[in-house]
Parts: sequence; structure tokens; C-alpha cells
Amino acid sequence: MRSGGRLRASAGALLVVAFVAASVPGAAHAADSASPAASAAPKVLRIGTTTAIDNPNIWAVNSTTEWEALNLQYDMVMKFGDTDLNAAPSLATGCDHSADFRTWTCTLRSGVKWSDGQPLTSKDVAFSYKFAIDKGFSLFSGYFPDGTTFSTPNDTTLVWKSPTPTNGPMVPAWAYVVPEHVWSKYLGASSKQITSADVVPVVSSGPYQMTSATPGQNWTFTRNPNYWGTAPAYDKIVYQLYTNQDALVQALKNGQVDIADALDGSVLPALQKLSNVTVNKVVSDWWVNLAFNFGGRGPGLPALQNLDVRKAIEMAIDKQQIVDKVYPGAAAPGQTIVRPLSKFWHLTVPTDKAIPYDPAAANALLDTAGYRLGPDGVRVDPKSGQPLVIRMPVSDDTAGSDGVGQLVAGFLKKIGITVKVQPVTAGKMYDLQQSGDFDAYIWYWSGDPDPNYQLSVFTSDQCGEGLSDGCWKNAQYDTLFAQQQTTFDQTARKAIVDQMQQLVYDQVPVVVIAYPNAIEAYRNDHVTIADRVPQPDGYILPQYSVDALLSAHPPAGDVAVDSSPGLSVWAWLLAGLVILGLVVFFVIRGRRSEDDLDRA
Amino acid sequence: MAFPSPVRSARSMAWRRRRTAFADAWSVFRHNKQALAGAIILLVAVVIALLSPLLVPPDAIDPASATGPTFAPPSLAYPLGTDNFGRSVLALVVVGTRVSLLVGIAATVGAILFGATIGIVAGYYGGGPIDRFLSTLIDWFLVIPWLVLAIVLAAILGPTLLNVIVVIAVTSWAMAARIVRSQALSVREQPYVERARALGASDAAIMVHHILPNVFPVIFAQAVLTVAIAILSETTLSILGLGDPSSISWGHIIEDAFNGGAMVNGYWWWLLPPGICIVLVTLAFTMCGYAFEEILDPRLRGLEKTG
Repeated sequence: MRSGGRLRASAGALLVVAFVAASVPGAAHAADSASPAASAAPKVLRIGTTTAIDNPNIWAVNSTTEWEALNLQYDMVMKFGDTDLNAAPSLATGCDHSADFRTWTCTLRSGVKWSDGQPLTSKDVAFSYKFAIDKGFSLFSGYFPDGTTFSTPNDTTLVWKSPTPTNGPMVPAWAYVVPEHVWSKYLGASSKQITSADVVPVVSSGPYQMTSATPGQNWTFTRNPNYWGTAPAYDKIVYQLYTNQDALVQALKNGQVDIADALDGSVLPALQKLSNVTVNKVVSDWWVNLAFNFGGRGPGLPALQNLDVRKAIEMAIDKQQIVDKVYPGAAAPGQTIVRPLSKFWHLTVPTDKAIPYDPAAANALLDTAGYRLGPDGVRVDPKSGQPLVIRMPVSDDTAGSDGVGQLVAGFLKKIGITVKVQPVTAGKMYDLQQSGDFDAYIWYWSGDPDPNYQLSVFTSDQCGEGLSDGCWKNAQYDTLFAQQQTTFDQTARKAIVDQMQQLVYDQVPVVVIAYPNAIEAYRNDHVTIADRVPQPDGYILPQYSVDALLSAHPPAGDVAVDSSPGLSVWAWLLAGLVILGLVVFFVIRGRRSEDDLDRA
Repeated sequence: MAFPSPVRSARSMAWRRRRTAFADAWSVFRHNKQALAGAIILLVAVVIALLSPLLVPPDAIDPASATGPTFAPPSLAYPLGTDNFGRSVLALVVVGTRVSLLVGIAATVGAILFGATIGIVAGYYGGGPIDRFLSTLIDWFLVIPWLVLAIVLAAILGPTLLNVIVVIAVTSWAMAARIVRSQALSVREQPYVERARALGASDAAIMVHHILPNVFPVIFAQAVLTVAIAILSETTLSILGLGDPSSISWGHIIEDAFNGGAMVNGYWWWLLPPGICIVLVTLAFTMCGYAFEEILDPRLRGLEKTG
């Protein structure tokens, strides 16, 4: 599956070289993106990002920006549709299934060519799928049930045969079609040889092809002359890496980049002051959670197995306050486990079934359940006499994790539960999750637009070495999960998926704390972008599909001259540094004059 | 009241000598304006640190209980404005004094205890295999870029306050050891050390009774300077996200401010106060440290008077 669930870098980790890098990249490019575009000069769209761009090889894709690069260059058989991310025609104009859903026949467009002029046929598709499966690239192969075979009766027909019923091509299968004539020579290679293969210039079928890559600095994409769809407005797209958010915001202000990718919520106030910057808050595709340990892997606090205690915790956490203080202006309070971006599948719990924020009711619930307050203000488990003290690791790869951890601890203190916040690295978090050495933890989930992956995380199967957060087990949930997997009618499946979301919400194996937005911003005086994926509040950049970015074009009329750089922001900082420098200088000078005398 | 004995014991002579030396030192210190200013700043900081639990109720710095507006600029109600949780930055800075000083001083004590011990032993056995081994160790720690070592250690040990102290101590003991060793080398050659040895004193006794008292002033001056470095180190680690996120130090406030967009949004009140505190306190320690060096090196003192 796409991300194994967890694919986001913490904002804090990006600050390491904060000061040094602020001014370096992109300065040389400012001129051509700002100057009124002469018709001869190529039109260049510049995108700034702070997430790593390291390896342009498709099989080594790792960061969100690298995924964007894939969507710029490669096609899927069926793509994520613009309206709700459900399957829409791409290389294939459509796919039909047999009555038992074991055989699918996809009809490809004819006359499609790779950027190097070779024809793209169904053989390329079959090769790509088999290559991903045989070489164990699980990121792309997870969409094919074990034993799936592909055949190509002619150049425009692909036939899937699966031993089990599947909705495969219509999920849609998130696997890209790569050129067989490039990759067939790697059939006998190890996965390390494959991922380290030099691929630039890339042979692509999508609107762009990567023509140069400077790892860790920038990637340049040039328009693919053989693209089968409508030609995009820009001749080139350049992704430029910035080492931190502040540098990226400055670059956007100064016009060194036209679009800023994956911005942190903290920069919103600065951006919203600028009339020539349009901020795009993307409907959330991930959520922050507080997960409880049910003791399947290692013992957690027994009291947390009591539904009343978990409910009380859900009631005691002021999600709105967390949103306001940790993700100001860029999140919604969390609720159910299928993220809001999956518009079709996401469930909003009806008001009469919702568990409202109510610390007084939470206290009453705990009182009734017999958890009396001890002398030190901490409640005591009536069975074991153990105080309710929760060891709560907080994973540093979750944006805003520090703030969420502190706030949760503060809220639970008010209902007599002590929380020991333990900040840990993501690597350590995997160890803790696998060993069950925690009572509750704060981490996050993200996944495919299709809910199957996210729902699978909560099944009993995922205890043991699986993905389950805290080994919650529920037989009814497991039955529903199996049912939704074999229900191919969208409406019927949606009803089951809703029931599952409600069940998790009622049983509180996790508290879904917040749905943070992804944030993109662009210079509306440099570029006009009408579409979003999904409409109307999704991504501009090609996280799921390139369609929104293809709608980008230079604005009509005059291209505005760059606004003045944000000097005022830096002025006070500079003043501070000067004062500091003077103080240090005087002290050192005092010393030096003594040293001079010393030598004399 | 006992009549003072006309026969002076060695011990009382030593004490008298020390008293005079102290009085002498104090008079130099008193007349050094930098040192006095430094001492006053430190006194204020220490008082604030000790009183911080009384000055700031715990609820005022609990993110979940803070009631203030978020990101508010300085006002009468919040003299230094508020942070992302709506907490008063003034309260944070006051509370931060305690952790920053604690880390600075604790790390210094660790570094100096370890560094001085190594330095004395190396100096006493100067030239021998023990010295060669210890000197190589000292050199090794001196040439490793401290920030890289600190980052690696902090990442391995995990972000707790104790670990931060350990990391800073481990990365800053070598300088003290080097200086103490050179001093010990010269003390070792003094006739009274030889005399003690002739009288049958063990190596350990000589180191404790003769070398240590004589290198102590150097250790003290070095310690005061090391505190300044330790506080800056704590700040650096915190800003890099390697500090203890659950304890509020000045460095941690700055890190939060960075992450909270203080730079790009111009929330100067969130960033500058802890920064100024760090500058003031490290400056104060440095000024005091220089004054102590001067006291210990009469040559410097004389020169200043003539110059």
C-alpha cells in the first residue's frame, strides 16, 4: 500500500540548518520566473518544497515530493478521479468485470507513445504489474491479490485474472505503468540494483519527463512531446528544495518560487497577509491519534481496557482547543478513522451518537465506574489499587506532536489521570508499538483514498507483528471487514464501512484527535490554478493526480513585478543580532587589549 | 576564651594564608566593574530561578489551562506577549531560568569533576604511560567537533533532562582536563611535593592534599567559564529539537517559537526575551570567569594597573 500508513516528516526536524540555508537556492532563477514572459522564452513553473527529493528512480520513491514526481511522469491504468478520488479513465478508457469479479478486462487508449517515441501497449502494463509483484515492491504490488495473472490479447486490451473476487482496477490500483523496453533489462537484477539504477532522463508517458536531477537540490521536468492528453501550459516544471519553512516562505514572497508545497500551519498568518499569495488548505488526508494498549503484545495499564475509562478520556480531550493551539487555522477536530479526503467513504458521526467534549461528564463517568480520586488527585483502579498513570510515548514524526502531547496530558490531569509524556523518534515508536511497551501513544495514520487499508489496521489479524496500534480485537468488526472486502456495490459497501467507522468510534480503541490540513500556497500574480484534486478543496500539486496542476497557466494580462522582499520581518532580527554582536565584541575587545599588553 | 597558641600549626598557617588570599581576591573582584556587573546579573538570575515556583503557578504554564489569547503581542496583561498556547512568555522565561541554570550548572559540575580528575592524574604521572593514555583521550575529545558528538549522543540517549546534562558534560570536560593537567605538571615539580613523597605519602594522598588545593583556583575559574558554554550548549541542543520537550528552558522556548512560525510571522516577543536572557547570563558567567582568571594571574593584574 502507498505509505504503510506513515509517511510524514516532522516540521521540527527540518529546522536543523535554519539560518544557513535561508538565502542560497533559487536566487539565480528569480529573473526568468518574474520577467514578463517573452513568447520565445520557455514558460517555467517553479515549485518549492521542504520534503526530500533524493532518488528520481520510481522504485525508490520515499517522500511526498517524490510521489508528486511520479504523478507528473507516469500514468495509472485508472486514475484517482477529480470529484471523489474514485477510479476515472486514464490510460484505460474503462474496465469491465466478469460476474464473479475474478476477471477484469481493461481497454487501453490506442496510439499512446512513450516520450522516446516507442508505443505504449498493454504489454507495458502487464510487465509493470508483474515487475512490481516479482521484485517485491509492495508499495505497488499490494493491489493485486496473490496469484493474479495478466494477459494481453492485443495491444489495447489487458486482462486480469484473480483467484479471489476483487475490485482491483477500480480501487484504483495505485501502480504506475513503466516502459518495458527500459526496465526489462533489470528482470534479473536485485532490488538494490534496480533502485540505484540511473533513470534520468526519464522515459515517461505522462505530461512531463524529468530531464535533470541534482539530488538534494532541484529536479527539472520538461514537457513530454508525446503526451496523449492535452498539452500543459508550462514548458518546464522545476522542483526546488528548501531546507526549512521560513526559507520557503521567503522564496514565495520574493517570487523565486510560484508554488510552495507542504507548508507548515505556523506560516499561515504571514501568508494570509499577502494579497498576491493564494493559500490552499487541503482537506485532511491524515489524522493524529491517541491509541490505547489492550495488552496483546505487552501489558498496558489494565484500566484502559475498560470502555468507560476510554470514553471518559475521549470526553475530556478538548479537540477544538488542540486544533486552535497546535494547528491554528489548519485542522479540524478529529472523529472517525477514514480521513475526510476520502470524501465518499468518510463518516461524520450523527450528533445523537457523538461523544461530546464534557470534562464534568467524564469525571462523573469515572466516579460511577469506581475509579475514586486518591489523596494526590490521581484516580485509583478499584480492582488493583493501581493509580491511573499513563506512559504516553509521542512520536516525533507527527507534525505538532509535542503540543498535542502536552495538551492531552493537561486535559487528562483535570479528570484525575496522570500522563507521563515520553517524546520518542519514529524508529523507537515502531519498537514500542511492536513490543507493546506503552499504555497509550500519540502517532498518526495516513493511507489510500480507498478505505480498505485504513480499516484493515483495526482488524484482529493486525495484532502480533501487524499494524494494529494496541491490539484491539472485536469480532463484529472483523466480520464487517471481511464483508466490505467482498461487497463490490459502492452503496452497499459504503453502508458497511460507515458501520465500521461508527463501531470504532463507539469502542474508542483510538481517539482521533485532529484532521490537520496540508497547506499549499501559490503566487496568484504568477500563476492561475483553477482545479483541485479532489474538487473543490483538494490538492493543487500532484499528490494523487496531475489534473489540478495541468490546469495551471500564466495569468491573463501583465505579469506583475515582484513585490518587495519581506525586509520588515528580518529587520528586528538583524537588529537583535547586531546588538548581540556589539556586546560580544566589547567583551572580547576588553580581553584582547589585555592580551596585547601581555605580549608587549 | 582560649589564648591563641604562640606556636602556629601548619594547618592554621595554611588557613591564614588562604584567608589573606581570599581577601585579596575579593578586593580585586570588587574593583573589577565587569565582574561586579556579572555577579549582580547572576544573583538576580539565581533568585528568580529559586523563586520561580512561587512567582509562576503551575497552571500558568500548563498548555491545557492557559487562558490567554494566542500569539498576542506584549500588553499590560501579558508584558512579553503570549505563545501559541496562550501562555505568558514572561512566565515561560521565568520558569525557563530554573532549567537553563540547572542544566548549565549540573553539566558543569559533571564536566569539571571528571575533567579535573583526569587532568590531575594525567599531570601527576606526566610523561608516563598513564599520562600518554589520558592525554590522547583528552586530545581525542578536544578535536571531535562537539556539536556532532552532542547530536549523536542526544539522539541515542533520548531527550530527557538528565541526558541533556550528560551529553553536555561529556562534550565539555576535555578543555578543563587539559588546563588542569598543565597546572598539575608544574605543581608536581614543587619541592614540597618531593618532600611529601620522601615522607612516604602515597600518590593518591599527594594528589588530594597537595596537587588538588593548588590547582583548585584554576578549576574554579574554568568552571565558571564552562557554565556559560553549557548554557549555550543546552540552547543549541534544544533549538535542534534534541532537548527535553517536557521541561521549559530558554532554548526550548526559542525552539517552540521557531516551530510556531515566530520568524516568518514576526512574533518577536516570543523569540527575543529568552534569547536576551541567554546572552545576559552567559555574558555574566564569562565576565565573572575572566575576573577570576585575573585574580589567579597576578601578572595580568599588574599589567592592567600600569596600562
